[in-house]
Amino acid sequence: MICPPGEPGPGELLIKEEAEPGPYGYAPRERPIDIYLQYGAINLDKPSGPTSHEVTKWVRSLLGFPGRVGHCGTLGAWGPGISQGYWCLAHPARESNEAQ
Amino acid sequence: MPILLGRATKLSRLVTRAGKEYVGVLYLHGDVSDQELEEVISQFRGPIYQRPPVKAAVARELRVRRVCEFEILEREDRFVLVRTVVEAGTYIRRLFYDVGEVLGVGASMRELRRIRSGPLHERDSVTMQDIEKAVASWAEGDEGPLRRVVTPVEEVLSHVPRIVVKDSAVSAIAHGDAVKAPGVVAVSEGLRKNREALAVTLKGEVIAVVRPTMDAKEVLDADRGIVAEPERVVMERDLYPPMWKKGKSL
Repeated sequence: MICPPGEPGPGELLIKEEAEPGPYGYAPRERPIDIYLQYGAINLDKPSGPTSHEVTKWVRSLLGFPGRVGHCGTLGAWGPGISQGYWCLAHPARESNEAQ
Repeated sequence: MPILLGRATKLSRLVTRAGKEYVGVLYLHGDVSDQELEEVISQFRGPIYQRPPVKAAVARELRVRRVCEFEILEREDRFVLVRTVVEAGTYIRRLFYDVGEVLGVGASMRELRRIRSGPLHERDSVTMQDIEKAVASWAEGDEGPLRRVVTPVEEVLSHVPRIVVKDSAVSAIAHGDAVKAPGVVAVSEGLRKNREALAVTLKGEVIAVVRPTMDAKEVLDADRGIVAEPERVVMERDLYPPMWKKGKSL
């Protein structure tokens, strides 16, 4: 079964019309580093201890990142053994906007 | 745990929508035979009803969630190590509890680890130390490690259907316009009316989150009119030239 179930999944690309890319923009992996980061995602192995929120703030300051940094996955109010974020509650990091 | 940077934060809802894979310990409150346990677990594969817990971020309405995979990896008396792949928004603690209810002995969740969120697998995850080292290399002029630590958000959204548009249509969409039939180059087979999709460039860059007004097959046949309404622009406006202003076409 395709996951996420209930969704058809993207499947194959069906061509409607042939076209060649022009000299604009960048393929995702070829973006200059500052733009690359703006469109970036990090698959973080979250350590136990700090909250998702704290980790996100830490990543932001570490990168010296000018824009937003948000996490998808909030640490439940569980015991310390269960560190991996489990229930994905995503919102752009509003706090970091306010800080700007 | 997926972390999104900059413009990619606008795509958090789509990242969240991906299916999840977990490994967890289900603790049985009574004695159950292997056969009985296996039988009950198999009943939970497929669509199940769940009501979010009291402490939840969403409305407590009964809702259907799909469990694609649910299997026993190991068992030691009352401790059962299981692996499951579920639709986003499935409560695993609840799932385990319900397994216990059907068994009649009760059960609870002892441990849980998410090992995959959409295409992001735990084995490919990076640690905070990895990020720290990558940033240090970057400061010394080598951006290679940083590029390995950070993934383009498009690759994290491989589960979302796409509409590929011509370069000449990009600027208008980046300014908040709808996707129109003549600008479409290709669509994902799985594109469905009203189910959020990504408008992307020929190079594969995300332009915006859009809501299709028709299914993939109809998009292929359409020669005019709107095929998807804008939901959220992700791309900066001036990356592609605004060819629509002068009515020029490529």
